[in-house]
Amino acid sequence: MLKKKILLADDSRTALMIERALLVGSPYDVIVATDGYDAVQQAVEAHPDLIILDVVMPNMDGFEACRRLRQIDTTRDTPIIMVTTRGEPHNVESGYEVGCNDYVTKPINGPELLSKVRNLLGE
Amino acid sequence: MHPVDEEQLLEALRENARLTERSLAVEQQVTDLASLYVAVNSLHAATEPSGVLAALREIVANLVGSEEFALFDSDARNGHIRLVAASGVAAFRFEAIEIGSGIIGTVAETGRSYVRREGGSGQSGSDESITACLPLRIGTAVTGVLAIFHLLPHKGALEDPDLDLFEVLSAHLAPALQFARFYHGGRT
Repeated sequence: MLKKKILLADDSRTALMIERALLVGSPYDVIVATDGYDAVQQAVEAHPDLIILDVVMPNMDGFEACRRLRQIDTTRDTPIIMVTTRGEPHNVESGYEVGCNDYVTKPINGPELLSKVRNLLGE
Repeated sequence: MHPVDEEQLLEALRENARLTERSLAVEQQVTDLASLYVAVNSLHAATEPSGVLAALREIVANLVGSEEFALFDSDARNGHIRLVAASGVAAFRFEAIEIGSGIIGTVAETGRSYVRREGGSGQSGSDESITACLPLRIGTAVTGVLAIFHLLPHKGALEDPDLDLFEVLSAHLAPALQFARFYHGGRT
């Protein structure tokens, strides 16, 4: 069976390690980007089935990366989960305004993230 | 076509619920173990003091759920503790802390952790705002203290895995920092 591909974009080493540990144990291939610009590039080249995008990243933040991904034909419909350190309503609203499908807050809750991933992948 | 056996159907539903519950528990356990592994790995991967502090900042934000901490070295000979780094709290609040004084000084003296599960409140940097204050050990000696202040609003309160993470920080932060100081000092 072909594994679904997930792109993780985060500049935090600890966040990437946690997210990878959770997802690699499930039937997913995981690719990694460490800033927003890199995330957009990799999304265009690797065609992930889902993108997990941190809000605070260097070069290009998660909101801008999400906005750009929604303007590109090949990534327009790719599910995006935003990861925020702060769960305040305005941060969440900003994420939905630029086109994310869902969000999670740090510290990452493993079962919550996996549930949202499965839901968006239609599993 | 066989008629549906109601009892069998109910049993299948109960079994499904049990498996779902078990699966969630395993996923939570994986998250908790991954957090401990990531914390230890991040601290010991750093070869410069600034790298250890950057790792600590990420651990406190991404694994504990706070953006405020202060790290101290203990100077038992002179009876006080010295601020090494502060993040999200004003450094001037910690200019003169004597060992045995306040929560931070008491932790330095007794070597016993202070934990407020519901999280700190009140003015940032005050004793009331401390969520956790941890003795940092090398072997059995307390060589420093880590104070973590307000939790992020969505974090709510500390849970049992957070206490395991505090044990890791208490045991590994000081050795990682000490190694980084020696290693970096030897190279410059």
